[in-house]
Amino acid sequence: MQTSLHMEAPVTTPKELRNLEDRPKRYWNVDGIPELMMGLVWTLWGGALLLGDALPKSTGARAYWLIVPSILVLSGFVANWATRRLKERLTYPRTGYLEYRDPGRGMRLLMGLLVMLSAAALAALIVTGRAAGMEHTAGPVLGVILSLAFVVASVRQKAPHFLALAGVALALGVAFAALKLGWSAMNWLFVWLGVAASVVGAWRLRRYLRQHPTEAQT
Amino acid sequence: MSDIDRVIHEPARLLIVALLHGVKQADFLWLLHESGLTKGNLSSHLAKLEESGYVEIEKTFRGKIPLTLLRLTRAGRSAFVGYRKAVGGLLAKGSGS
Repeated sequence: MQTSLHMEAPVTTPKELRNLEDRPKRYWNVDGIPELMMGLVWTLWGGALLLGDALPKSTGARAYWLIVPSILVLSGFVANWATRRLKERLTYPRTGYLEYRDPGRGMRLLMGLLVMLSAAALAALIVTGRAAGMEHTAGPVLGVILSLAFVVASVRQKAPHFLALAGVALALGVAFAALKLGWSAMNWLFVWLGVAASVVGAWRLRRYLRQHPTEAQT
Repeated sequence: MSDIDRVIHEPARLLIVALLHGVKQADFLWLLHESGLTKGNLSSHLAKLEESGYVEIEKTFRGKIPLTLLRLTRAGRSAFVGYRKAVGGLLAKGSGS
């Protein structure tokens, strides 16, 4: 099926074609559900760690620290499951279903490696920070890191609302630096950034549901 | 211009193929929303792409609701990659001359 000369389509540049190919990536965030779930999980994590720190040293506190970390890890899987179920109920009947391409083994390995490196860097920051008395810088540093991550996500997924979350993360980092909250600043950061992400997600979900009624509602 | 694939070169079909190239599979409703085409127009272009062996159409059900899944075939993917290269080459030639 090759043609010789006729130009039915205006010549589309490879850049424009790549932009079209990238549109499915943006679809994941179209409904606000991922931000909402991420926000809830972060609030839970920060809140659970703050509660653990506030508990008096006792058998109850030891039991708490034995059980809660497993629950926090599990919450990530539950949030992932809930996101998919909500999309099945709310998004796919309204604006359609799509399945992403398998990222491939190399990309999976790279992502796993990145997660492990980030966890190791955070652990090293805490361990060396405790020794060097850096407890007041950990929260602000985490705020800056999360802010940069939101900026990258905003550019890659062409999602301007992530810039608002980047601003919130940065503002919280600066505020906690001024308040000198110590190590608990990281937990407070997760709580408040989680609340902000939940609010943004809920607002976007509400707007999405209004803009895209189901066939039965129209 | 001899490298330009006529099936994909049509604007609506190029849009469909480019959108499907970014996913493993999608349903008719998603493509309808993303492309902005009418149901009839989208159906006819999909039929043409299926006839050319570029798109696979699977009619199934999610629960009791009918679901039409669409995916690019291997031939469709390589045709799109070839088209993109050809257009890039043409543009490079155009800007060079």
